[in-house]
Amino acid sequence: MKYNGKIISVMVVICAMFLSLAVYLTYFTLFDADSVVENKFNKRIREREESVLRGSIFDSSGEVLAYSRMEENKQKRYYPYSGRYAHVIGYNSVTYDKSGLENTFNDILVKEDPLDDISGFFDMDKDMSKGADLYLTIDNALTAKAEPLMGRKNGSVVALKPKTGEVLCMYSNPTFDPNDSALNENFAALSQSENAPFLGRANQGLYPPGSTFKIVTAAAALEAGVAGNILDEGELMIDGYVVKNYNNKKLGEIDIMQGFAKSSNVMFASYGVQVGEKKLKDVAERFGIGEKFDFDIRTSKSLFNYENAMGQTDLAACGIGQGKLLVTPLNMVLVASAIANDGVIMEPYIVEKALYPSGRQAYTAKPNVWKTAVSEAVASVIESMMIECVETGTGTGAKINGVTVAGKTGTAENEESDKTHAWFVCYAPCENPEIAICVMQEYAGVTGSNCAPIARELINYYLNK
Amino acid sequence: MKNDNYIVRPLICILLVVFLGGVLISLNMGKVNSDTAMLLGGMCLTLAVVYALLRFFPLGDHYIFMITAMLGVIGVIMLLRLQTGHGQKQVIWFSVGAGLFLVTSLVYRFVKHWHKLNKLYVITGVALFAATALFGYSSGGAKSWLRLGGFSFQPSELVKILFILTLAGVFNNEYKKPKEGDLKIKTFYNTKLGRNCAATMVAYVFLLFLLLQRDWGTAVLFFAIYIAFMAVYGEDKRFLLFNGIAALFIGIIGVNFMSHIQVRVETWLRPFDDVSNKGYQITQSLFAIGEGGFTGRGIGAGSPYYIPEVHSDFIFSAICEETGILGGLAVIMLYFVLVYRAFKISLSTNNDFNKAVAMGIGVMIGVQTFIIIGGVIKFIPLTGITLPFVSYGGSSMVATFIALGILQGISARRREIEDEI
Repeated sequence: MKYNGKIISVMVVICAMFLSLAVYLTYFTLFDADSVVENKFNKRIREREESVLRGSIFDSSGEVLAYSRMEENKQKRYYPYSGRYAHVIGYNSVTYDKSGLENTFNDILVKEDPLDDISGFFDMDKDMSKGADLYLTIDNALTAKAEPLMGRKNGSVVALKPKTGEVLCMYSNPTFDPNDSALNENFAALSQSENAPFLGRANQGLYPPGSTFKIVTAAAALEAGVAGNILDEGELMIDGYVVKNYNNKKLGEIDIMQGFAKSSNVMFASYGVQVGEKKLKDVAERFGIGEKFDFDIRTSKSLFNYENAMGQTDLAACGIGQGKLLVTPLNMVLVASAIANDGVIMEPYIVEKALYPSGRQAYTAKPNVWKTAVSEAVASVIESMMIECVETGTGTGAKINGVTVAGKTGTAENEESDKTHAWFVCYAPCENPEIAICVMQEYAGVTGSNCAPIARELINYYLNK
Repeated sequence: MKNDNYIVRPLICILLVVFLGGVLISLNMGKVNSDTAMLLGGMCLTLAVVYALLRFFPLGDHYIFMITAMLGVIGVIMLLRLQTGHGQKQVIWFSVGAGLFLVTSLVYRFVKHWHKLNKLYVITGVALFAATALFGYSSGGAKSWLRLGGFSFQPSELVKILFILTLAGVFNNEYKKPKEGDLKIKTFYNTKLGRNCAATMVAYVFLLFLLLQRDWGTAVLFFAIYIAFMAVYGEDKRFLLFNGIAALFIGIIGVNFMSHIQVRVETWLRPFDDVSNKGYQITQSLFAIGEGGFTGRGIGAGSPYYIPEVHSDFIFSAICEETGILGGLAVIMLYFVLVYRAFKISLSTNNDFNKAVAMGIGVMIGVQTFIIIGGVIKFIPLTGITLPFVSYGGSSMVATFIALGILQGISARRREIEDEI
């Protein structure tokens, strides 16, 4: 009997051990389990997906861009247009996981209709259930047009409706075949390729914007009231940094309209210096540069990369879209759309809606205002400058008889090559803008670039559809 | 017997679990075969026979087997669901174990000299361990298996029981008065310090063998049993200090110099850093438990087959995936009640030796359950050890049944004494 007291103590310790197990297990289930099961190594996720036939993906006119089929008791995903949407829709691979919309909209693509689930409970012989289908804002015919126009040049074409933010076309070159067999075969080579075919240049590529940024500088200058005439002598020296016009061309005494249309670096470098850091940064931010935003697929944030105070030379370089300034083509099309839409930028989106097989809605997108970049008045001044640019300036390649096109060219110097990146941003028709386009080609040089003519073709096609 | 409700109700519960388990396996897995039905029938038959014997003969405590039966049934259902072959063997092991349980309880009860056989226990234990070191083979990282005839078994499972009997004997044998001509060692053994030293020596010899086998889970279990005995009977703070330092020392050596232990600690602290390799086992277990949530995915409707060693060490994770942590907590409660039963018997028996043995068995089952369940839920670092009665495996099942047989014998003896009074 004398040991009973101590035996009870031992029992209490063992009880505490059992209690701690129960408490920890409950704690784990309450607080950790939800995030743990989302780990991509959890094979049950894929297993669950396999039990539901993955939804199809359609363009805005109902053409199938991706679908799944049962083959030998396994689902197989098909992308009939091969690489055309490799960066937008992405791929869905057992080995290489998911990318693009296949990744971000995965939950919806494999989601059974909750109502369907209830009826299925009573019907054991029901066929395999199907996930929701995605309906995109993408215009397959327009993208089909853009694909050959880009040819073998690396770069991207992005087009959207300025009034709503619906993305009509988003094509990046080079691309790759996302179909499973091709992907398995080429993945290693693709991921090592210097051309970086997995990079969706339209939304993830970061480039110096070059002269297309003059839209932003012009807005800042107009707001600050410094947009006066200048004497352009072909080059300008700022703090030992020499800013030159293209081909050192002397434009003489010019106003902002001419300076913009002829893309005077001298003018916009000095505007940059005059508006100052605070103003320039503020306006750039309103155009979404350096700002994060939600998009249907993963997107890089454009960068306004000055941590320390900007000096005069920095401001001059920024004014003409050089310096530590990096933007995505998607961001630049939003800049153009701001001018088209009276200063307002709509949030861009690709997925219009998702429908269950029964026709019930699983997801609907709503046009949303993202930012107000400039006032209507400033927007209309810049619009007239962009029209002038296409009529008489550097952007004549985009001129269309009977349609007023507003645009801006850009050639961006970069650190890696003496060949410049070529840009063209535009929208049309100016009276009632229906489409805004950004065409961008890497290392195209000035002469090799055909960005403006590509935009012209696309506008022509889209408006005459 | 005035009222049979206390035995009939749990029996109905167990039969219900068998029935529901069988139905769910059939529904969810399409395994409607005569094998499953026959195996579950066989399981019920074993239960019925043992119950009838317990009911109509004065064989002692009724609860021990009830709890064990429920755990065994849960194990068999999970194993049938995982792999019919394993379930089949488990039913056989369960029946064999139940038989040994009854035999052990009778033998233990009617042979009265268990406390005098210390030397035999130690020699048998050392011999079994030595044989394992020489002729054993590895499975799952630990060289702890011995093949005898057609059977493979883990000697450490049996040595566990011998160890408990040894410690109980060492601390409870009467102190003999020193006589002229006694060996010095014998005189020393008959002092309190001598007993403590003897217990410590036996414990550390066994621990050394287990560490050589690299069976860390069982080593921790032996150490815990030894510490429990020292806490109750040692009455000497110096040993507490010594053991603390020794544990710390072994721990530090293990963590710093043994890659095996390093990996365990690393995957315990950061399991998701290397999911595909080092952290594979534990993360698969956590995925399963996480997916199960509170109520589980249903027996036969989960995917426990992704967990390595799911039929043995990780069966608790499979139970959690398919029956939820409510099922898991129920299993923990069953062990808790079983351990409580052991302590209850320990506290109410008058025989000092039996009191110690019952406590040792309680500690053994409690700590073993804690080590493996705590391991698979990532509460403590994972060490491979079986979940008594539920994990697939003959040695563990038989050995734990023998331990419970001893407990049963003690409980019956207690009643005899009460009857005599």
